[in-house]
Parts: sequence; C-alpha cells; structure tokens
Amino acid sequence: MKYVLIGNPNVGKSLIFNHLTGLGVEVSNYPGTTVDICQGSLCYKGARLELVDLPGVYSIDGTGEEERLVRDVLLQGGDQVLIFVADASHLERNLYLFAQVAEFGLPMVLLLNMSDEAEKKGIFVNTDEISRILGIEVIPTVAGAGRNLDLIIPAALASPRIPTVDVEYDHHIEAAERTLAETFGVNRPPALLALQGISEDAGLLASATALSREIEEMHHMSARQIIATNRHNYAERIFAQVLRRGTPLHGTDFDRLLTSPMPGIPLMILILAGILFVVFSIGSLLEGVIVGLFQAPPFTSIPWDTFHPLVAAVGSSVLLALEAGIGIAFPFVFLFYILVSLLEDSGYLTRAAFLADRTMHRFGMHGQAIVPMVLGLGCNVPAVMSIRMLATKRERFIAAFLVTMVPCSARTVIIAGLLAAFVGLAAAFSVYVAIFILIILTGVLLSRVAPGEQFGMILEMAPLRMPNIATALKRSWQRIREFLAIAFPLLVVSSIALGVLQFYGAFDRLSVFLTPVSTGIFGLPPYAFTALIFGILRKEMTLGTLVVLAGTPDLSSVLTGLQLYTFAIMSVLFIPCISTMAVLYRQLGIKTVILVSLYTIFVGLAIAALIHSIGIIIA
Amino acid sequence: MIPLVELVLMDSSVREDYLEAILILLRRGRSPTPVDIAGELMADPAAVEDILSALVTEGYITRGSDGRISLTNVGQDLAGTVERKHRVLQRFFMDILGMEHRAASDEACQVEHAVSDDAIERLRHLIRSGGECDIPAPVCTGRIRALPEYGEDEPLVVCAIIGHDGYERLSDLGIVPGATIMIKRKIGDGAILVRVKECDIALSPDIAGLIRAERAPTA
Repeated sequence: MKYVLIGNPNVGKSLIFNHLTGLGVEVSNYPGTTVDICQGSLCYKGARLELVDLPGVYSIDGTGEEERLVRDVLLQGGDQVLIFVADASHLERNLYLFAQVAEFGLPMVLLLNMSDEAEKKGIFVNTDEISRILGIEVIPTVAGAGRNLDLIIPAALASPRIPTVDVEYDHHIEAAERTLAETFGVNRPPALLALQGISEDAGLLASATALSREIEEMHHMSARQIIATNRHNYAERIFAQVLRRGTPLHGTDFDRLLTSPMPGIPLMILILAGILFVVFSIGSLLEGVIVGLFQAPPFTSIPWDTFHPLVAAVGSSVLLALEAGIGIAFPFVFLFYILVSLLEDSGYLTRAAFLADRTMHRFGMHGQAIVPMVLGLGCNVPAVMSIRMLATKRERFIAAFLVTMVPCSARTVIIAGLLAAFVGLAAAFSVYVAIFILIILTGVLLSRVAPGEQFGMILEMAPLRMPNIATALKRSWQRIREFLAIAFPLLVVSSIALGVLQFYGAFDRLSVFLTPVSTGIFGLPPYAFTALIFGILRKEMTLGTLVVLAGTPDLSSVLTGLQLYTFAIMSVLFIPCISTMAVLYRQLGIKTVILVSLYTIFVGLAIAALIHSIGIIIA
Repeated sequence: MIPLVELVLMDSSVREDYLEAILILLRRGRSPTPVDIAGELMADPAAVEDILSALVTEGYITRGSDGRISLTNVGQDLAGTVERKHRVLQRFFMDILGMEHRAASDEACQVEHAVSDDAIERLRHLIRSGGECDIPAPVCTGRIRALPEYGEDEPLVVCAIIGHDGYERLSDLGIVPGATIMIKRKIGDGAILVRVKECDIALSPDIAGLIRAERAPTA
C-alpha cells in the first residue's frame, strides 16, 4: 500500500510531506522527464509506510510533464491511498482538481490545509458537511504550525474511502463518454481524457477526436473547455454548500505594494540585489576559508615527490577537483539554495515574475525567467537549476543559453583580477556591458529560432507567507546533495584527465601547435589557452593557472593591456564550468549542453578575435 | 402507396429536413417513431408517414418491425452533410453577423439546402481563423472587448477565449466562458493580474489579449 500526497501547487504539500517523513527522503527523476518525485517512508505503530509526494498540478488533463506524471500514477490504480491536500483559502479552485482526481475511484482522505489563512479571509468551511457530501474523511490542518498533522496517517490507514463525486457533464459530453466507454470497454476517466485528446490507445483517441470535433462545432467551445466548465460548476456548487462566510480581517495590503510598479519595482531590485550581495560577500568569504584549508596542512604536506610522478599527478588532480567542487558547492550553491527556498516559500517570486514579464519578453521568455537570470550573477549552478521553474521547454532552452552567459561571481573575479587590477575600472566595466549586449542579442536571436511555440505566462500568485527556515534548510540540503552527486564525479574525472594530459606534456605540445593561432588571431601567448582549459574546472582557476604559467603575479609585466582585455573577455564567455554543465545536463539533456558549449566557445573566440583585430587597427 | 410521380417531385429540401431530424433524434439516444419526427418537424403525422415511405423507397432509411426508423449509410451521409452545413451557417450568422440564436437557426434552415459544399468549407475556414473577427460565445449579450481594454477592479464576465488550443491552463484556473473575473492590477500595456475564484493569476499581455469579456451585469 502506497500513500500519495496530491494537490494544487502552493498548498503546503511539501511541508506536510517533510513533516511526516523526516529525513529519509529520496528525490528521484521520473523516467523520461525532469520532474522530481519525492519518496519517503515513515514508521507508524511499528509498521513502515511508503509516502510519495507528487508535484503540485492544477489539472491532470494536460500535456505538461507534471500533469502526465500525476495522471500516470492515478491510472495505475491499485494499492494506493490518496491524501488530497487542498488550500482551504482557495477551496473552490482546489475542488476542481479534486473532482478530476476523485473520478479515478481510489480511496482518499481530504486535508483542508491553511485553514487559519482561510479564516483570516473570512472563509469558514463546514468540515462535517463537506465530509458528508464527498463521503470521505476531511481534516482541517495548518501545516505551518503543525496543527492536526498527527491525524493524517491514522485517518489514511483507518478510513480511506472512495469519494462520491457527481459532476454534471454536458449531455453531449456524457453521450460521447458513454459511447467511448461502451465501444472501448474503458471507464469514465480514460474516456473523458480521450475526449480532451489524451490517450495512448490510437483507436480510442481517433473516435474521441471525431466526437469532440462534433461537440466543439455545436458548442463553440472545445470539449476541454466544456468539461472544465462542468467541473468548475461542480466545485462552485459544493463550495457554496460548505461555506460559512465570516468577516475577513483587514491587514496591510502588502500585495498592492509588491505588485504596483511603484514601489514594487524598486523593491524587487532591492531584494534581488540583496541576495546577490549576501552571496557575494558571505560566499566569497566562505570560499576563501575553504580554499585556504586546501592550501594548508595536511594537504600542503603531502610529499608528492616521493610518489611515482603519474600517481602524484592523479592525486593532486583529485585534490584540485575536491577543492573546486567544495569551493563552489558550499559557499555559493548552498547559500543560494537557502535564500531562494526562503524567497520561494514567501510567495514573492511570483510577484517578481509579474513585474518583470514585460522586460523578459524581449528575450523570448516570460516573467519567471527573471529569477535564473539574476541568480546567474552569483553562480550559474543554482541559476540553471532554477530554470525548471519555467513553463515550456522552449523557454528553458533559451534560458539555458542566456544564464550560462551571465557573468557569475567567479567570472567577476577574473574580470577584476585581470582588468580592474592591471588595466582600469572602465575596462572592467566595459566587459560587463559587452557581455550584456551579447546576452540581449542572443536572447533576441534565440526567441526567433528556438523550437516550440511561444506560450505566454499564466502564473498563479502564490500566497504571501512567512517562510519556514527549517524547511528551507532541509530542501536546500536535498538539492545540494543532488548537486554534489552529479557534479563531483564529473569534476574528478575531468580534473584527472587534465592532470594526466599535463603529465604527458599534452599542453606543451598543444601550445606549440596553437602558437600560430593564438598569436596570429588573438595576439595571446599559447599558455593562455592552457589556462582557459583549466578554467573549465572552476572559472577562477583561469586566473590562477595564468599566473603560474606566466611565472609572475604581475601580469602586466608579461601581457599588454590589449592582451589582458582580449583574454578576459574570452575566458568570461568561453564555455561554462563543469558544475554548470553537469546541472544543465540534468535539466535539459546532453544535446543542450553540447549546443551551449559550442555556442559559448564560438562566441568567446569570435569576440576575442574581433577585439584583437580592432585593437591592432587602433594601435 | 404513393404514386411514383409524387416521389420524383419530392423536394430535396424536404428530404434533407427529414433526414436531419432523424439524425438529431437518433443522437438523443433512441430510434425515432413517425410521431417523434412529426413532433420534431412540427408536421402533420399523416404527411410524415407518406414521406417516410418515400424515403424508404429511395433507400435513405429503413423501418424496423416496431415502426422505428434508422438511417442507411447513404441516409447517414446526407443527413450528416446537411447538419454540418446547418451548424456552420448558424455559427456564421451568430458569431460574425451577430444575429440572435433563434433567428440564426431559422435562417440556417433555409440556406442549408441551397448552399454548396465549397461555400461551406470557405465559411468554416473563415470562422475558424478567428483572429480577424471577434467570436462572441452565446453567454454574452453586451459589448465584448479584449481583456486588456478594461480597467482595474471592474467585474467582468468571460465571453470567449480565442484560439483556445494550448492554453488549457486558463480553463484549469477557472478562466472559462461564463466565469466572473476582475482585473486586479495592470502594468501599462504589460502583464495583467486577474482575480478569479479568489485566486490571483498573472497573465502575459499576449494571453490576456486572447480573452474576450464583457462588463458583468450589475445586480
């Protein structure tokens, strides 16, 4: 027997899941999708129960990955008890999904979560009445305060019942559904799904499509819309029967402040800049500490010369990988996750998306994309991970390119270390300007050529609430574990590969081979390319490697201003770091990783060549 | 038995009306009797009986032992074609010419017998393309405008969603024809925040522009 949490987005499902399961949670990727499914277990009266948290959806009759996943779980039927989590303050809308889910005829328990927030809005739900109408156990809960959460599992164990729902469908829909049910021997849910164009069975789908086309002509509405309207009417009817309206409490209308351009937009800039500031300052501090640890005993006292030179090369490469991984993971990625989790839970991100929608349109994206773009300034890794918030594959694809071009804090280190230090602040600043122009151009270009149709933003404002720090920490911990699991093996392997290549003198040979190119086209010493390649492990390493290979920390003594400038812009644009590519692979697949890599290599080299030739002409 | 002469003279529009009526009655779930047909067409039962016999002879319908009527394949095809013409015409009269439901249906009943298949296809295409002309749904009676043309805090009723393919989420969130909604916030010509079923939904301007609405009737 499996216990499955199901419900709309933003109803506090994950909070309940976390509360019930404790730490033994496994986040797995649903086969063939990028959707996460959380699985955990809990002990109740000596028995182990399996609990699954499905992604929040508004409907199961859609073509999105989340919807498909939830639908597949329901179509499996069998040994499952559904724990439907509804937001009591938005009960009518939540009952719409409930009606769909209930038609699958699985035993259920209904939670009316956030009942405190509902009461503040003047919405009192008659629990006994709704329980009587739906024929299942109904528990009012407040997940944030832990109220009544202890009643969930006993109820789900003792008295899960199959709910009674009687959605009154339009008679054409009813007739079509009956025809399909009789002809193909299916029950109501698959027949209704087929009428909306969703079925694996080609015969059923063909008949259903013919029927729904007829219905559409008669009603001037698609079968999908008619069915949705019927279910909304059902939800409205039930809600009216169980609602006792009280007087809403009036507080400050924060929402008005947050969603009006004034002061909403300055506030948004302040909040996003605040996050960046925290990550920059605390992150770099922590990074310094961590990198410092690796450059002190016991690591510095490892007697590498006593080992076989190849062993020493591999060993120090592994250390280097660990340093790079931990140096990114904890200061930047973890910190970001915590802050973003807090912001996500507070409901603010949806307001920012609303405000930023128009600007983001210019890049072929929508408001939600503001988050990854801004996060990218701190670290590309969490930014790429937050791409999953975007609604369509097309948007995620465009965002993948743009986010990986955003100069992260590591690249800022390069810009500062090469240009601000040796050439001047204006030069450093101009690199940012150039990169942002390139990002805009790439966005405009991609919005023309990216596959898929452009879908606009349809985004529900998540309720504003006080975020819970413990939950944010727990979720961040899960995500960082996921990051470490993907990124570390890659980091170690590529670091060893680079170390071994270096051991066998591959880079010296490459330098010889590259000399005509590097000096001819880019005006750079060939060792700059070695530095560039090591930057793939961790972007700041470009700078460190360059210093080592140049043989002096005073780079201005070996490189001209033009060379420094060319190299800075090349290394900032050139291919994202291994960690970023690892998460990008996880989010969008290998094809996108290859495309992004090729594109950034091309842009990096092309711009560097361009700058070099312009510089030569001016000089 | 009716004389052969009368059979030949049977107006094609009469034949089509009968077949269409039989199809509609069959759709309602049972094989109709001559009385049902007379009721549907508001015709004299005696005359109905004559014409039904003629239709049997012509091979459009068959009659069971209990007198109930079903369509042959040929009859089914003809009835389907006529019914489709009726629907397309009715939509054209209502949605594009703005005629009232009953009048549009009556008008369609007349024209459906004369109009060519090609003309119907072209009309269908015109109605489907949508973009050029507003398509008010039957729920609306007042002046219909695109959502972004309204101001904040005005109660509105959704009339139609143009080109509803791909925007299923609107239906799921309760933005369906007939729903009452209100614009809560509007940023210039940018995104729009809509309140529906006590939830706030942010819509891109391109999506909001697909939603047709009228002012809610004041209670």
